Amino acid sequence: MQNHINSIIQQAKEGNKSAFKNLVDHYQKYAFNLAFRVLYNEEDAKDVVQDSFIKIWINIKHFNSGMPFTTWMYKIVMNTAIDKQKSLKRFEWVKEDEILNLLTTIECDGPDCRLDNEQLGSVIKKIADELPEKQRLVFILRDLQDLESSVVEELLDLSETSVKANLYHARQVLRKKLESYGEQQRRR
Amino acid sequence: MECRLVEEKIEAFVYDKTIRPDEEMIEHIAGCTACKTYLKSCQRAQKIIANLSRAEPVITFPQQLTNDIMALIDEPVLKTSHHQTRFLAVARKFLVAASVALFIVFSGEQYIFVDKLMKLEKNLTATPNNKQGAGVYKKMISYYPEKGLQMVKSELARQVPESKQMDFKSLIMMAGYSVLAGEELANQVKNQTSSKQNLSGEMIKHH
Repeated sequence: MQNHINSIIQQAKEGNKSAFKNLVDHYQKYAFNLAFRVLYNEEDAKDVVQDSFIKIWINIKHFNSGMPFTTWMYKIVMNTAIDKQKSLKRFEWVKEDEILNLLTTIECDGPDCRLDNEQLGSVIKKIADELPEKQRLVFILRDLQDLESSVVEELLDLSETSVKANLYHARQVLRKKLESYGEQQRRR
Repeated sequence: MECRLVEEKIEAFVYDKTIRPDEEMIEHIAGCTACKTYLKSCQRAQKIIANLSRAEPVITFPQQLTNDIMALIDEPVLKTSHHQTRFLAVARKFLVAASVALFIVFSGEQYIFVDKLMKLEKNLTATPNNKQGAGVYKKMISYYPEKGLQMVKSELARQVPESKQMDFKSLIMMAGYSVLAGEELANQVKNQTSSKQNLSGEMIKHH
């Protein structure tokens, strides 16, 4: 499988659009997941995926085949998403009651407990948006995107210690926040 | 074992599935309500985060997204914008270099100007000390006893090279002070002489 991907990447580097289309088909889901978790919104995430793949097409000839394609792609997607977020001044108010219901849903493990994109975006935004930027990105990449610590270090240009410290603080803040929501749920 | 250390261990244990709880930690949690609550709180947070990680957002019409991307790549506009981007990148680098060069030139100029101004100010406001004043006065009296201040100035200007003009200005000041002092001394001597003459005239008259 990896050899097949490498061959597609090589063909795309040589300007083969059909091979690039295969790459887009294969990787757009991963790119979308990351962009969505940074921006909490489907349409914005789609815009970011589109812009990112155009950047990838323009720069693919400079891609170093020695490194994993996903790491390179994630870096482009993440930077594009961060730029997009800076340009967005959207203010979306999520009601506390709504969040408590969504948390109850997310805590249950049953098949009926799925959240749609809008609900999922609201929960992530509510719990992660107030974190400082570094902590938020480390949390998204490490805990939500489930990336290896070494990949997170490379994507954010941070040391291993810095990633660990940011993740620790982010988890502490989230734990306290979720604890307070838990108390509100119990009072209802 | 301190609660703070146990909390760190709980944190590591809850989020890293490869870590097993040690005996000491289990014993502490069994007897400590605060750490028990902390463990539950961490486990709940971890569960929510893990479920959020599993709940992946769904792309509606993924094929449409691929087609949109490929259509944009095929557009000649992209090529133009690619060239424009390169042009802008070069232009940006050029502007950065130009602004750095201008900054260096103007800051250098300003430094020289301010430096000159400060030296000038220092020299013009400097008060010659007694020794310097006396030396210049002595010199002036020795070589130019009958000439005025203007003559002294022009003579000094001729003697002092251009690079020493700053020092020259202070010399002029000292010379100025010295001339005034000299005039004052001459006046005093003249007054004393005339008063002595008057006194002796009066004395002769009375006598």
